[in-house]
Amino acid sequence: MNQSNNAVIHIEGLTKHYGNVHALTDLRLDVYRGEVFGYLGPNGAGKTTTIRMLLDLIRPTAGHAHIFDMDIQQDSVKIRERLGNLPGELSLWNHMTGWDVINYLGELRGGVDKNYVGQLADRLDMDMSRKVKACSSGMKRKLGLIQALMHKPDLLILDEPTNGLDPLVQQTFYSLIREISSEGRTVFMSSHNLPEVEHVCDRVGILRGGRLAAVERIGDLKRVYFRWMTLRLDDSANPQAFEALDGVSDVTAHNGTLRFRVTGELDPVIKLAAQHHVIDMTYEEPTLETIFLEYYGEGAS
Amino acid sequence: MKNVGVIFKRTLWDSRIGILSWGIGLGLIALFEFTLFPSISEAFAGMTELLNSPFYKAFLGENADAAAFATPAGYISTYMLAFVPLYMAVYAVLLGLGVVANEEERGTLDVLLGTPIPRWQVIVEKSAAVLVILLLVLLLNGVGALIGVLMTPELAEVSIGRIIEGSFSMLPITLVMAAMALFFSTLLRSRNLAAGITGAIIIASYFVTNLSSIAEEALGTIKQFSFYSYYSPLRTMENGIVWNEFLILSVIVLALFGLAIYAFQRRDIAV
Repeated sequence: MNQSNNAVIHIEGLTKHYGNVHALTDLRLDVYRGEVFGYLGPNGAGKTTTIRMLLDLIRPTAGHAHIFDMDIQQDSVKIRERLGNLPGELSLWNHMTGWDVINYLGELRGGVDKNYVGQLADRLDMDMSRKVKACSSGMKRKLGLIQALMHKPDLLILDEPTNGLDPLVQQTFYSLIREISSEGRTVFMSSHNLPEVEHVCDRVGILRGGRLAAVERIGDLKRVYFRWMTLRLDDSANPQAFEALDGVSDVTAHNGTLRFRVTGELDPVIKLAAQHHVIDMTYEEPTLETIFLEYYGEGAS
Repeated sequence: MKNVGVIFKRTLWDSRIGILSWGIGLGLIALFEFTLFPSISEAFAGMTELLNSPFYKAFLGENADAAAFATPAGYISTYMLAFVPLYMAVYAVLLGLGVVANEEERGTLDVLLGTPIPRWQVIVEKSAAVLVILLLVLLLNGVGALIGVLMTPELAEVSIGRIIEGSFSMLPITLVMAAMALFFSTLLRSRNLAAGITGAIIIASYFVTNLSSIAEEALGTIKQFSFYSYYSPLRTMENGIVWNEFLILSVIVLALFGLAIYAFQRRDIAV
């Protein structure tokens, strides 16, 4: 299949500068039909700038982009008919209830299937009769997701969708994303959380300092994903035994405490540690910035 | 288009408390002031010198005339037509800022513009709602004024038609204030800055116009650029709506409205 013909989002040289601040520079990217694309980057990397340009909320300094083969500026209204959007910093009308918000936005879309909205609310455990001002940030986020999904859009653009969601609702969200993808619909979601995109995305674009540094298939990204593990054992474990394990490196030992880096599966580490009396175990996720610097180096920015 | 009128209806519904509180409040003030006409006109009748002082001229302009003030038309034009637009300025500016700036600063504009509506439609529908809101508030103010006139035999010479004309004549000047707030908020992307500039222009225009009656030479030219100069409450109460002034103010409203759409269509939406 010719992928370029199948691109739902086609971006060519998209650039946004605010005077001397280069929010985004020369972004070139294709996102394909049915794909869940993760847009990764630390805060300030240019993720929200990209999304707001795709939604025609801000205008590019240079370059252009097409969604569904339509120009993001000229055909913005037609594009938005087929698009669901969840802003990163979501604000809704405080005086409205959840249903008021859905009815208002639904009317602006020419009507909405309330049964489907009810199903989404049930799955996300959202009380739609509650006023927005009485909602927690997690509940507002759920309402934001419902309004983005309610018209079954062909493309979902989600800016940090799981921010503020509790872990159970996050799992429901991941299920929803998989269902959407299986229906041939496309998801473009930004995140600064590597495990999250690893969980749901097919491909990721890594953004740094306003430039797209890499686009990886998720399987390839796993090779760069590492964590630090610290084990406190009551006997003197042999550091070499841990170092010999696949994916373990940089082992240091001090007074019965072992610290090392793990890439890939944890199973061999856990099994080896279980041969000792484990007093404590801590596990540190590196920041995306750390992983990025580790594998792409300073020069990549 | 399937979604025409949705934002208009929502804006009107969300403004229902404002319409009632401002309309009934201004109506009660008019009623109260008009029933006091006999005692106040008597008190002011002997104050010719005071009312002709620059201080009062600056505040009351053509209405700072003891003889006119003592007449029903002069009294009504001063209280209802000269002061009410000043009170209304606060509400009109808030409404003008409500078209775009409030939603933009709150962040709800991002959600609204995520739906398939063009930017200009947001301004057009919300502005149409502002027009209806101001009309309803002025109508309620007019009802209060009408009751006040009917309860005060000394004001009986003023016709019901004049009261209705007087209320309606305030619409373009309040719309100018709302349109200015809208224009500056779309241009500057700052609610506070837009409110400040609009407020300063309203105050400057009010004083330039009124002071020009005592400093014609110095302020004659500037007066022409002051929108308040195209609003003559006393003449309205004496002879009916001054249509050429009504038209000029309406053109200013349309120009500001057009410029606001032009600016909003082209600029970035603030985060």
